[in-house]
Amino acid sequence: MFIEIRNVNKAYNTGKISLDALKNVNLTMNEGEIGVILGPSGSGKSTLLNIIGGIDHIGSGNVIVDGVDIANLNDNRLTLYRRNSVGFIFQFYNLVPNLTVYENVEVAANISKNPIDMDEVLESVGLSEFKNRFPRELSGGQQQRVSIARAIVKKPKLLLCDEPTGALDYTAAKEILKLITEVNKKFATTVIIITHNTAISRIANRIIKLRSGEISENVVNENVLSAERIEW
Amino acid sequence: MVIKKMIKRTILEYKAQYIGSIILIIISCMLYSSFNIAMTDVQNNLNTFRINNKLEDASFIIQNPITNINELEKKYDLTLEERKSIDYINEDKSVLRILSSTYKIDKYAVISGKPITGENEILIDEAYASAHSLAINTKLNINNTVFKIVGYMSTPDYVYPLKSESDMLKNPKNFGVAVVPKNDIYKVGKGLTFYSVKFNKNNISEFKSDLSIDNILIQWTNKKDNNRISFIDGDMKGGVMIGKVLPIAILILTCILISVVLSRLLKREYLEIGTLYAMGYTKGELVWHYLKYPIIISIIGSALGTVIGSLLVKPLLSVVTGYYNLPLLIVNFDIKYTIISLILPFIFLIPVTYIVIRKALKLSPLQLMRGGNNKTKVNFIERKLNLDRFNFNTKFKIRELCRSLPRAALMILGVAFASMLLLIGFATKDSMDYMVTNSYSDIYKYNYEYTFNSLQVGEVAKGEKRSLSSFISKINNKDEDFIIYGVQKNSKLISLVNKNNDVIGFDKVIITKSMSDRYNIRVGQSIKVKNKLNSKEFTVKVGEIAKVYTGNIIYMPLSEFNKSNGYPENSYLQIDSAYKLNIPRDKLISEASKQDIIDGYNTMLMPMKYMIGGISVMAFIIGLIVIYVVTSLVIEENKANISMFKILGYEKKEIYSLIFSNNIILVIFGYIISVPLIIMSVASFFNAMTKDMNITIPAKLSTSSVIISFVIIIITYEISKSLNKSKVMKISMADSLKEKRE
Repeated sequence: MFIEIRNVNKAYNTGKISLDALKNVNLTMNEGEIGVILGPSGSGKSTLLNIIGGIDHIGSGNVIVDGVDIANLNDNRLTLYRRNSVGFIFQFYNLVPNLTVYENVEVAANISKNPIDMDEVLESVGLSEFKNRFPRELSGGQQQRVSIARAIVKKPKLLLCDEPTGALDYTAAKEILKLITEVNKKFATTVIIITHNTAISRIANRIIKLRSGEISENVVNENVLSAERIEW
Repeated sequence: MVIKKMIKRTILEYKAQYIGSIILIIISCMLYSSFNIAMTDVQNNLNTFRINNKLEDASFIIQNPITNINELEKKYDLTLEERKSIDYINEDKSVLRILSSTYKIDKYAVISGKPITGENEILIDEAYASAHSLAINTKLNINNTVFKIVGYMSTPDYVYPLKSESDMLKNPKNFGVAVVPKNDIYKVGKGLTFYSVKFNKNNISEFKSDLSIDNILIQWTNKKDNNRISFIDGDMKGGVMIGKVLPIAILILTCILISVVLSRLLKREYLEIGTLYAMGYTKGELVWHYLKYPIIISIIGSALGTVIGSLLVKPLLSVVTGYYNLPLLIVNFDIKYTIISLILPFIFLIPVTYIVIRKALKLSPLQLMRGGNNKTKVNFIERKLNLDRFNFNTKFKIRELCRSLPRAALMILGVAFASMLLLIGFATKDSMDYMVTNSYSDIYKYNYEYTFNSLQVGEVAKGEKRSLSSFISKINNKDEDFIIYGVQKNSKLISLVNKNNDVIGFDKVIITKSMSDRYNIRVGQSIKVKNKLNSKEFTVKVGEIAKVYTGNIIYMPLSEFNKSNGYPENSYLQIDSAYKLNIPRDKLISEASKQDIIDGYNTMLMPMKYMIGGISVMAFIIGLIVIYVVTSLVIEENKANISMFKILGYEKKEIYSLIFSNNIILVIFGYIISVPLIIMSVASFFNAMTKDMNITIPAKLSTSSVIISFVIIIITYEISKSLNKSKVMKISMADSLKEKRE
């Protein structure tokens, strides 16, 4: 198993109130799989993604990624984990507005031991001709492509996508999903996508549904569709 | 309005920025109120003292005593008084100048104790008394006559107690003045006779000509050429300049700081402003809401600053009146300066912040709710930059530098201002150092200078002959004063060099570099001069310019000096010597030792060190505030980036390097521009101070001072960086996930 989550609990304490975000979550995923986590707002899907990405801590349990229990790592080791193994794609792209497309991708390449050639990455996301533009000079879909390029340039084993199509129109969203599946195939990257959009789950090998911090459904999708074929 | 609750919360959330602004206003108002009130008081005291106690217009020494004082007073409508002085040398080699009490001119004022009422009573200057532990009622044996110290006093002609009127540095350990009853002075010695005069008409030349008819004027010193009288005026100008220029400069800096902080606040609150706008709040209500920030800051800062400044008035007055021997007759808290101090921050801050707020509120509610038009605007510099050849770290730092020009300007200005403030003290000390070294080591090689009370004729067995006189010349249609020295052609005890450091011989007329610069006089130019003692006029042709910066002096061969002035051949007024000479005291006006001058300088260094220390602390605080606030603004603006860097796996030190290290360029740049600026400022400050004085203080800044100040600024930068590091660490990675941006 590439990802193995065992009995994970997570609570947020805000003053006198303790809010359970994850309750006894168990989950496994194989290397190279695409997993989609579905659930309404407040179901804990972002918390789960953050924990797998090493940007949030758990209360109890184990989070084993590629044989390492990241729940036991200290902050410095977690930093190295994110640096070497994880790529992130955000709903609102989170590009540095005052850096060009090329430089935004360089942000990640800069700390990678063995990054993919920058021009090759930009070519693969179809942004070669826009590399000297600033983010505000791009459409939403193009900005998300930059975000994908930034995530994959360091060849991560794990690509975590937080509502990657949430801010995009239908066409742009489909293009982004296509790109993510291409990355998954080309680099054998394990991908986890969290989304509200149930239609997206059809591109996944594994569909996980969360409700109130608990996994309500965890199924293997035998009938995976390409991004072009899904509709919503 | 309920939104006013936001103000307190915002100020508390970003307290460092607001506290920093308040501290700057406090410093500004404190300096403004304390310096202006104190300097006005000192000036009023000085004026009152000079009027009440009849400050002389000039003093002079003449070969033979004047016997027709009353006749001259009537003839020229002036007040003339004969005075006596005796330099009593104490056991510790210090000199106490005993003056006979006067009743017409330069009358003493009692600072503490009581006036002289009987025989064998003496009043002395407080600084000398303090340096020699002479309390009131102590008995003082002067040349076998016992005097009782009945009090401390000041005379208007010895407000700055210098041994010679051309000295620059007082030293109470070595020199002081005392007053005894007129008849008692004969008990201690013969003494030197001199005269003080106060004119009611502009007939000074006629009077001098009359005196020279059958007598010889040895020395004539106008009050403005007498450093004992005029030095305080220069310092007053300095104090007034500090009280006017420095607070305004700090307020301008505060204005920029508050504008940047407020515009950041507005950008941060665009969504809230847009929502309030949409809810029906008027523009006026919102402007008023945001104006409350500078108003609150100004109220707190100006009130505290003015109160602290008012509390500092008395100590400041004591320092000035103690440094100068000045009686404190009036202490007035000039309400005008208190009021100005209270409203000054409002005058500066409100209009500037009003413009910033109005500009932000020009956007529509929808634009505001969408985060404003300029949220991620790329400025023209960023757009034009071609950074392809650099690595990512360098690119990021350069882009960060260019990202906010007002922020960069604030950092550069703030650091430049703090550095200038820091360098003021160093430049003052270095300039004084240079003046003393230049004068007393490089140029004047003698150790003792003897000035006679009458013209001497003949050869001298030991030392070198020299003569001097004060002259006047019409330069650029203005009467300018300077001194001409007659120097032996083969002089070894005065060494002048030209701009190439070649030694200049005394076979020609030489002028100082400061005189050349001040009046734009070049080699080959002729100057028509008029002797202030005997009104003799002649012309000198400048043969060389000497690297001397400490006065407006002309050097010419002694033989030509005597001939041109109509003095006897081989005559002289001074002897310079490397060794102490045994010359009867009753033949001398003064005996100056180079060591005394150097000791005086060293004594003066101590308060100067405190001054440098005080200014450095202020500079440090201002530097710290500005760098801290700008760095915290950088962090705030990069919050999402920092969060994202963390998510991407950047290590702490890599983030610190990306976020902080580019500021060092601004800090260094700010410091570099401060160096020439401070030299120019100090030069114009000294020029203003010495405008009416017969000295020039060259502005100098040594390499070691530049390095020390730089180290202090860098330490300030490092401290503010350290203080901000925790802020970077507090930024959560989740911020990036929540952030909605392009």
